Amino acid sequence: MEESKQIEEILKGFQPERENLLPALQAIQEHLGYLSRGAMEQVAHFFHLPPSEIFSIVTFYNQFRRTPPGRHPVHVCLGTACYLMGGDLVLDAFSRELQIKKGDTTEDGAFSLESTACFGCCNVAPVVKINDQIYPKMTSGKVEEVIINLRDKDKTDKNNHDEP
Amino acid sequence: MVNGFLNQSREKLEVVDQETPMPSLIIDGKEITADPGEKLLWVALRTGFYIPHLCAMKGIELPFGGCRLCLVEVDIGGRREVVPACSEPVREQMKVYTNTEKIARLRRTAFELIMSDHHIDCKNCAKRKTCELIKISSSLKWSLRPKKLRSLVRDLPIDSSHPLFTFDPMKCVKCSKCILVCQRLGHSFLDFAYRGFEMILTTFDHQPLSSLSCESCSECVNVCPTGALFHKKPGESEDG
Ligand code: SF4
Ligand code: SF4
Ligand code: FES
Ligand code: FES
Repeated sequence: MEESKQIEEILKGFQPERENLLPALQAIQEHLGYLSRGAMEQVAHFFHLPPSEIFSIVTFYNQFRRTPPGRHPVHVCLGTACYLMGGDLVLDAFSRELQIKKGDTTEDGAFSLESTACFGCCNVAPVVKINDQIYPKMTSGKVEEVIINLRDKDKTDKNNHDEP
Repeated sequence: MVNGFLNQSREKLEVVDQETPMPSLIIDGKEITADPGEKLLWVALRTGFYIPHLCAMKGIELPFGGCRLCLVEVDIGGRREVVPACSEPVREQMKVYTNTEKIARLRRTAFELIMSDHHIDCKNCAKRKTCELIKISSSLKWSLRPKKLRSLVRDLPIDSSHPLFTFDPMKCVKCSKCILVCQRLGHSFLDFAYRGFEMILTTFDHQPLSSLSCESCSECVNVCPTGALFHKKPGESEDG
């Protein structure tokens, strides 16, 4: 289904009242992974608000992203257990290594960086989830290796794909 | 929406008018009569007391109150507090102190904050003759350049796409006046984005000014107190 049709469907679940604005934006992001220019315009139209105001709100909150997530969305757990075990240091290490801030995507579209709450596997904290894989007991030291491995995997995948 | 709101509050004011007497208050020892509901800042200014102000706008019911330059001390029933004069309505028996040592210190810090990310380049600035920052700094005998705070001017793109005016975000003091006039005219092309130190004035998704269906009324340029929004010189189309 086209993006605008999907958004239309999601918006059907809301009354165009101001108090529903944040929940509606959250629902769209949940479904599509990010809020595109078109999505913000549609929301503005639906709520009868100026697009500039929607943009102001979307950029105000850290939870919203305006770029599509990368091929490997990195989710660093900052739940209590992971946080206490140094989850924030792991997040910093990813941020340094990928040279992006939380919420952003690398220029080549390979990685995006996000923090989340508890994955439910606190016994192996601190935890990072990339694609559907859980990386237990992460340390800042392991970050570089994880990234290199994924980049290598991308390269071999691409080569296999390119061969006739 | 804002206009409807204003009319409504004006009606309310008239009703109040018939019943309540004009409040009298004391500004720096002088007795003054004001209109009920009038904001302290405008009363003080029209009765000869200078209070610096950057973001206040007459006729806006809910001022933005972001610049903090208009802080004054008020004393109501023995309780003394610091309030922004632009959003404080006058009250009967209110004592106002516009120029205490505390106020001077707070205002100076507010001004330093504003100037700390301002690209000070008055020589080449289109608004140097009307600039409010210069007026404020010279009437209070302050330097434009912050003394205590480090200057941190961000490197932001200038938008000179519009045929009539240019926007230079490095001169923007985030007073919100342009946002409010554009909103009052029913367009709302401008708004703030991001927050904290990263806050900027911008358009929807940073679209260039020329791509909006802006009617070129130039009201935003006229209210802008600094060189952030300025008219292009005649004959100058691209690049200000
Ligand atoms: S806006 Fe005012 S203080 Fe800033 S550079 Fe222009 S004239 Fe100078
Ligand atoms: S562009 Fe001018 S009027 Fe608009 S917020 Fe900045 S300083 Fe204020
Ligand atoms: S706190 Fe991170 S998995 Fe539970
Ligand atoms: S004029 Fe009152 S806060 Fe700016």
